[in-house]
Amino acid sequence: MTQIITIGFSFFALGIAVRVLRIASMPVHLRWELYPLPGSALEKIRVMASEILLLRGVHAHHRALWIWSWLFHLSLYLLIVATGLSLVAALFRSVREGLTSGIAILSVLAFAGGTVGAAALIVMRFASRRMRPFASFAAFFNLGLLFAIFASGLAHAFVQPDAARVMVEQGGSLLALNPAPHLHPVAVAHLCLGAFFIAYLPFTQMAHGVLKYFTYHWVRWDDRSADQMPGHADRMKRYLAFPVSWSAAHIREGSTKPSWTEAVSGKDPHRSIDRG
Amino acid sequence: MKRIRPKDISKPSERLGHVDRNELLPLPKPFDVEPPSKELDPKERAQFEASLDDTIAVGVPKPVSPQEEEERVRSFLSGLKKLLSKEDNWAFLQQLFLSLESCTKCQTCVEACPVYTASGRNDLYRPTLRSEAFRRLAYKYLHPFGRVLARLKGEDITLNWTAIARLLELSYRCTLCRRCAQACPIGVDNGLIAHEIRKLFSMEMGIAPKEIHERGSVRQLASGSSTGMNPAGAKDSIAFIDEEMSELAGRRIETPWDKQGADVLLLHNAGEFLAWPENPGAFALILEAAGVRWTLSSELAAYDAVNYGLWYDDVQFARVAMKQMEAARKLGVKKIILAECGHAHKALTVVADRLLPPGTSIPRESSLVFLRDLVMSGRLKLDPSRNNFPVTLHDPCNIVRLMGIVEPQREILKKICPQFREMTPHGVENYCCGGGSGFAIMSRHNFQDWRLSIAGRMKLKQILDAFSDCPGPEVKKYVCAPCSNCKGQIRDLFQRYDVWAKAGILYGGLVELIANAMAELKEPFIKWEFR
Repeated sequence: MTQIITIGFSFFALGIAVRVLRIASMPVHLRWELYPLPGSALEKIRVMASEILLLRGVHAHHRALWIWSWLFHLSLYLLIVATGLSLVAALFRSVREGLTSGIAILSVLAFAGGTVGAAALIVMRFASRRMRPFASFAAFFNLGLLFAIFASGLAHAFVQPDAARVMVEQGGSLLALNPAPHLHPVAVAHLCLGAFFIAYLPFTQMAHGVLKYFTYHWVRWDDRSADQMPGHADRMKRYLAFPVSWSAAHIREGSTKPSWTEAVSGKDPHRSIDRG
Repeated sequence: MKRIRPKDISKPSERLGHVDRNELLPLPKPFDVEPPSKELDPKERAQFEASLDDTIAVGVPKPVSPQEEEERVRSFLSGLKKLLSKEDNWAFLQQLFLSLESCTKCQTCVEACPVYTASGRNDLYRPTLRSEAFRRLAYKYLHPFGRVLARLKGEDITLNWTAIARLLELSYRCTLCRRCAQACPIGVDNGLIAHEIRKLFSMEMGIAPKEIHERGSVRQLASGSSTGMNPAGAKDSIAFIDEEMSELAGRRIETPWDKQGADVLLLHNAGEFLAWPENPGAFALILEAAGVRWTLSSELAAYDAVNYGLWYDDVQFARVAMKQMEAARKLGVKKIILAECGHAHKALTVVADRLLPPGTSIPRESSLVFLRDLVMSGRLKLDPSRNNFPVTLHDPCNIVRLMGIVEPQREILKKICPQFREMTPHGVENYCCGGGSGFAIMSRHNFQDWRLSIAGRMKLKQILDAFSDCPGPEVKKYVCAPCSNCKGQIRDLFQRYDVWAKAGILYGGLVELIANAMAELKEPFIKWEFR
């Protein structure tokens, strides 16, 4: 089990890193901000927190979805917190006893909320006139997978009264890269599903939690003018030297590709209209 | 109502959807009877692509042979690749990629779209329909294992001419107001995707509405203005306007041209010279009265602030922006002031900002900010009692939601219009007039009826609601719309629904209200005649 979870997290780290690097290495785009813009770093944190923790946008614009989506996301956050605490408890013997009972409560809340939330989201995607036309197999599969993870976690809590202690032990094995302790089959199913999900997430739209950082901070809220961006002049020189291969007649003629500077300035030596 | 899924876009049929006028957003009485809309005649349907709905915006001729159809599909696919390439789309690649990758199909954004809601929530006009169809095409044809994965995901879609022709028309059923993007919790921008689809058609396939390309940006680059007016024609128009203003002011008003070293280069939408000459006239009156050292430029493309490339073509956009900046540089002005034209504001001030080669940038400012400073400085003698009639404010999307200029125009109106009232919602949450992204100047085939009865419907309702305490024509009322395109759309809306006769609502810009409040004028500036 330790190996399976390790592989899951490795895929996750690699997948997210590749995706983030790909986005971050793209050319700096033209300004495309969208107001309102937060006025300070504190305001940015406030807006992001209300968006992440309360799903403010969904609450404002899709109320029927909000309660289930919020329950689902909140459960996911609780599960992440419970997992984090399990690792802390595994690392520090002194707090283990105290934390384990807290982890047990948090996990059950997360699993119960997540099970209901994921099931409701599946029903909504299927039954809502607003959502049904855009619901694909992938959407049902992803939600179904999360439902299975939550439900198996909940089942484990029922079939094994000291489930939280077992998970702390599993956390310890993971950190020490030791083989897993003996696990109940339901726990095995739960952890396998979780490991698969973690590995699979970066390659799906479920990575929106990470991509959201870029859509907000790098696009929607990025109103820096060129003179506030160090090195922008050199960057522009590079971009304007890129070859233009768009084929419309008003942009270029023949097979030669002008640079952006040539295409824009009307000094493309290969284009008759510019020569004329 | 018919349910439309993204994959339906590829299925050949006479039309994908239909607008039932009985399902449109209801308007208050006496505007609750919908005027008839022009139906496409069979000849138009036979000649042009019209398989989306009951309307033609672009009017691309149908392919005459299977070979031509195949060639267009190949060309689309080639454009799709370029749209996602660093070299060809460096300017928008990052935000396009993010919007294609992040959507969870939660449909949270759809209710924010005035086109969708005003149409009676017609699936065809969901902001997500075109985006999702495009996203699936991009995934299937550009992802390394796209064809297999698309089937596995249940998101397969067929690329054929039917889908392409519908995507083209669909990209012109969105005003690019980006209200949906504002509502998206993840930051996905369906307006941007519509913009990028338009770019693909224009920059790769050479397809764009005539009004914004051939008779728009191409004409502006060739003759100086999208109106076709050359520099001499522009000077003649302004001379005529100056005469009118001189008569009104009782003193000589002369608009300066090409004044070297002026503090301010004013960029007007040249459409104002012909359609609303009182607007540049009011600017001249105000700037002269305030003692501003200003000028217009007669350089090619610089006496017309418009930049239609913003809506559909990066190369055309950059060409016009460069010419405008070059004209300002030549004159050695301290700053450029954008007059009342929303898209010109955003084009030159915001979108062109990072594009301008080093050392060529000159400060740009909105006239709304500049006028606010003038009005608040006390340099103009203003009498608010001259504007003692109900006034409401339309927020042009480009200036407000996309640039964040919200308060200056309100500060002015609160100072000079005692009966100012807001629309609901307003500010950055405003609704588009329905004429955004070029729609206000697009009227071929039967597109005008669509943009008025559907795209502009929410705005008309907002205007009528703002004056619900004085609905009749006996009380004269004013909608302040500080943007040429918005004014054009509101004019056409008022004509279609006979708003002036039935409700006594006039439309105009902000400077007209300032000029109307100028104590030095013996006669009111606003004439209360609907044109």
